[in-house]
Amino acid sequence: MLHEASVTAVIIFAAFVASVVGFSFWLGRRGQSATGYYAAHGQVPWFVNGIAFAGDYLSAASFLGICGLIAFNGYDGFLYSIGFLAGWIVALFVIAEPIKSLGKFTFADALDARFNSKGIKLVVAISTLVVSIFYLIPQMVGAGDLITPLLGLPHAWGVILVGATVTWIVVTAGMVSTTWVQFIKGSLLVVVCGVLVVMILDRGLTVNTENLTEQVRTVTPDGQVLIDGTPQTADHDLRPVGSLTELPGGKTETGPLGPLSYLATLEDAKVVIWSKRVETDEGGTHTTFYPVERRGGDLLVPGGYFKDLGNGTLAGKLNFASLMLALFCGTASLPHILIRYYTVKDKASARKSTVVGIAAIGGFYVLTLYLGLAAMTSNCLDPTTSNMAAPLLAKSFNETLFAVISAIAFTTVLGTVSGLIMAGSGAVAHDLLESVCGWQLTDHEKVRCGKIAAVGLGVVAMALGILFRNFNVSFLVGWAFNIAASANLPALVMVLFWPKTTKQGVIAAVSVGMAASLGWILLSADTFEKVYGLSPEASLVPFSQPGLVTIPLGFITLVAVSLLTQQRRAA
Amino acid sequence: MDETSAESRQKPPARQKVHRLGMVLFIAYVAMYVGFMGLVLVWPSALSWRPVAGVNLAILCGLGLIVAAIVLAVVFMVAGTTEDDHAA
Repeated sequence: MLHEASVTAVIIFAAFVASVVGFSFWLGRRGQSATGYYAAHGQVPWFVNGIAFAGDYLSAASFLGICGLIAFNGYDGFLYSIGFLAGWIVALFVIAEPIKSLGKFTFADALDARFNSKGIKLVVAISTLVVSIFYLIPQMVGAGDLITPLLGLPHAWGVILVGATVTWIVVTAGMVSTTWVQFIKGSLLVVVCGVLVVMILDRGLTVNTENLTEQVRTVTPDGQVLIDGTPQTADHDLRPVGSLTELPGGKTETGPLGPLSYLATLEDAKVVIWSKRVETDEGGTHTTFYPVERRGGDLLVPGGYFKDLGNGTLAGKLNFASLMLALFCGTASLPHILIRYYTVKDKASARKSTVVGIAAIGGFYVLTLYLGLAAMTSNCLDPTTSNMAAPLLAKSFNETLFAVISAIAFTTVLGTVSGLIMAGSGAVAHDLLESVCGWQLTDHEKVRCGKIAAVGLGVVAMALGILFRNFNVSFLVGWAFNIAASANLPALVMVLFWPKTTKQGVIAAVSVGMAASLGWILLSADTFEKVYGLSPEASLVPFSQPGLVTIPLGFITLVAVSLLTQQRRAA
Repeated sequence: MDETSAESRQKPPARQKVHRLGMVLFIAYVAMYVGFMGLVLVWPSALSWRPVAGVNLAILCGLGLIVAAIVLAVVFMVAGTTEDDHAA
């Protein structure tokens, strides 16, 4: 769909983003020592750190991706919410306190605390960079998707705008500023989405049976876009989709509903969701969007997106189990989350901030269910992208709310990307240059190297954000979780809880877990189809999500290599 | 064995108790998560049953898992704080 910029929306958006960034700089104006730059002096209050956890974690995938998945496929998007939150249980009960005790600046510090090994620092730094880059891609894709309807700019401009702003934040004030951006963003996200859900419940559900005919978008060989055979203009464009055709009792609108009665009413309603088919001929590529009427109850159970649940294929079921395992294990293995444990003063603060984070994140995920279902039924969706469901839902109320929600989504991307770039720059400067290459860096030089690395990572993130623009952001984040869980979790858990772990075991587990999960993803059906443009049948692995195989492989590798190297350890 | 590991093996009784509590709560949550995902995987149609206020089991279980995570986290925070925790 074409989107024209609204002056009001642009002004609100610009003021909002400028205030958040300016406020965070003011709050984080100290912090130019290495401890300040990488760990905010270890003095962030636990409540602020807890909300910053939420700000760091509730990324474009959580806000834009999950709402979009629910809006287009029903309940299955909520399974991502459940899996994302469950991962925090591992972080709280297993990882939080030991990681606080063992590390200083980076995740590699904790894994290497017992061994002082350059090999561990090297593989963990590489793993940190790989996970951070895979996690950066969906954030940048989400940023590009947001900017298009808000400012009327091409997708690439959104990616460049986020990349440049975040790099500026990180380079200017490091972890202190990053923490405050994440704190402000986390607070605003939960509060404003809460207000939006209250408005959704107050509006209730309304029947809309207009415009339920097919729509065809054609891209001709010379790049022209046609809608139903005529050139696309602002007045002749794809229609917004997603509506109710029937409410229980023959009503046309419900009026205000409670949280449970909203869900119960939707169960008994009839909903029109939109599917698409793509055909190519000499006239170009034709994407036909067509309506499918479903019973609400069918959309509120699993199976809309994960088609193989129940009576589906074994490969499909394994794919789902693998994804849910990766979401559960991945959170506590994400380097940009783990470094936040170094910003508080002690173990009690680490634990308390995790609890605050879980409460904020859990509360937000409950809201995503309502946001997604409201977007599904409010005749506001752009049929060409699932990532814009939440902002377009806000637009169905008014332009001001649209601008506010878009600005929050933009700061959502800023908060997460700044955390990722911090983790990556720490891995380069602290782990690779200082520990592996043996550079003797002064405090000032260590900060400068981190800033240079941050600029490099920002440029890579922008390039990848443009390259992967056609993916759902939650789907892409699933890959990052798989790699993090496969490469990092086995080594982390075993270093903390198995005394026979050796440095060779850690190096092997991280290397094998990372290579296996990355290789699996590159050979998967999804990558064949969506990245290489090849037939998914040609893929070389039985299902797309690697975690079910590669997480146990990491554990087995660590145990086997550690047992084989016990003598060297004793010597 | 190095100092860090030695230290972790010699946890004071209060810390051991907290560690055990953490493991019990962790196992309880894993059991709930695995049970729900198992049901989703093999018998998703069972989740369309509507036992409370017209809301189906899929949504109740999903919301229940989110609420359970928050409750267990608060229990751990309240019951698991010791004096040793305030050492950096």
